[in-house]
Amino acid sequence: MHTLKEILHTVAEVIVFLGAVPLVTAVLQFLLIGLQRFRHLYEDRDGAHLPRTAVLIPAWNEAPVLTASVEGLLALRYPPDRLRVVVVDDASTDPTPEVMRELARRHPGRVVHLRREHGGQGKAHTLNHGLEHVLRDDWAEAVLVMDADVVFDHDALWRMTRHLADPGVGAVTAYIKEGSGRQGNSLTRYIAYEYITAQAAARRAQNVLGVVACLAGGAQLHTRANLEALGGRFDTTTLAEDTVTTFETQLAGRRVVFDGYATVLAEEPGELTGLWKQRLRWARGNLQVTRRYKGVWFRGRTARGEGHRLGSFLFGLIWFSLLATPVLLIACSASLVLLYFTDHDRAWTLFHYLWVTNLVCYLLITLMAAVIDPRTFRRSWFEALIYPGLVATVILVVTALPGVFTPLLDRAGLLPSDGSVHPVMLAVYAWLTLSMPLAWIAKLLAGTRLRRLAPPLLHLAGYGSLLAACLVAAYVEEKRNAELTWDKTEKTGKVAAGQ
Amino acid sequence: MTNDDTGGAPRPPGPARPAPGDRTPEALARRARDLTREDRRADRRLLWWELLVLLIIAGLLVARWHWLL
Repeated sequence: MHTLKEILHTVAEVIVFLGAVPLVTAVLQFLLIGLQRFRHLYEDRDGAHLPRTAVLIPAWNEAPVLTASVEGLLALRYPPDRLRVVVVDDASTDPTPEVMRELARRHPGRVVHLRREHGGQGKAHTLNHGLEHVLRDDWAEAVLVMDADVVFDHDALWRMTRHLADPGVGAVTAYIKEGSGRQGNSLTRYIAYEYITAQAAARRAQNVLGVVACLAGGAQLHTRANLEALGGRFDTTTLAEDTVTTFETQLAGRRVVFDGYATVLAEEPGELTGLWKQRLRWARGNLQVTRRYKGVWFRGRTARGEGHRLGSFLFGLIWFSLLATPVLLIACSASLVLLYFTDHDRAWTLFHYLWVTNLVCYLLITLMAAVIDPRTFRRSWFEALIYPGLVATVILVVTALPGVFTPLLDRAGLLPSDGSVHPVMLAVYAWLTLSMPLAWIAKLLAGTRLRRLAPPLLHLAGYGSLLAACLVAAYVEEKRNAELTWDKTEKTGKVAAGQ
Repeated sequence: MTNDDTGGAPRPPGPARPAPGDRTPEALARRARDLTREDRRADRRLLWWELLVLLIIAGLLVARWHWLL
């Protein structure tokens, strides 16, 4: 009996540390980014590589932003005779056709307006309509796929095209930055910080690993050869056509590159309901991709032989640690609670070590994010500090200074020596799990009369917990085989207006 | 509508930038050369920043171990 209990405790101890896996994996990526210099991505090959580029913009009711987007594109630092804009109007019901007719008239030969009379099937279908037109003649040497509302930095396009001088490169993606600026709110600042970690940092690390997880849907540049090798069409069977394109490109033996210096501003959801809708779509898309490429994961040797690194161990670890975050957090909390009921002291020691690990990861990620994109960090530093949630941040502070706080906890009766259970400590031990439903409640409140309670609840639970909760919802929807709908994220055009 | 926010890692003051309207191949090639050099430098600097961050965290952990536990 005693041995069985010991075995159970040892298993529980291991599971507790699984709760740190997502953060530790994130740190691994942050440690890799400094090595990008050795990848020689920015070698000066021939001054400027400027292929004839067709810009493909899918548009559904984008009249308020189209003029600014198209004019902005035509004003990029890129030879005018090497840039064309093709807008695919997906049966818009607003003045998009009139706006496009005027733009085509103003820039004859440089702006093309295509219209689908029966739309609403999703972005991939719209893109395919435009791609068919672009690939029909041999003018385009490269195709840039972007969203109607994103704003390119003046130098972003040639920064992307410079990688295409390497014939081994099939596609390039840019650093999408949250673009609300001063018009934003705390949610957009959370997203701004998230994008430093998830794009500027993680994708640099992926450059180092030689495998990129996803070409940003709002800014992806392909060589003509790559698109033709993909059959001249984007995937229409999943909610993640951009990730499928990324995988297919690499499976075909072409490299995908992330250029962190080619920046693009995008408008992101400013309220929780919109963010939830968007992230649910992304999470479901990633689950579909995981299933679709089940023969690729963790097949390191074979994969290298085939000219791609999608099967590498580290890439698989990065991919699955993210997808398994809710499971790992729940297992970790459950083990801590089990130990709390059966062996107080062991539970406290493990809890302490777990959070010291989290603290080191949190510090490294926060400081590196400040270094990677100082400008965005200056805008979102507060959201960065409370990114794990206020409760988790307090736990981190307590963990950082045990000499100060342990006596206080003792005095408050939170660390009883008689083995009795304290509800506050129980909640703290289970916090990694409890924060997820709390974040979900914040999202639910956002759509009701109590919407004012949503932001403080989100601050309490943490933005990371919201994303984990969204992942749980994605698992449920995929399990139920819920209908795949393309819910377009509402855009107001404030990014373009702010420039 | 477009912006000059290059984001990314901190970088030294860049070379004089031509007006956005200057899109002749020569001007673009010159600019591409200059900015690519800047990007390379920023990439190199990232490694040193990373090492500095690691040093700071190691220092904090040592301090915590010795004085704050």
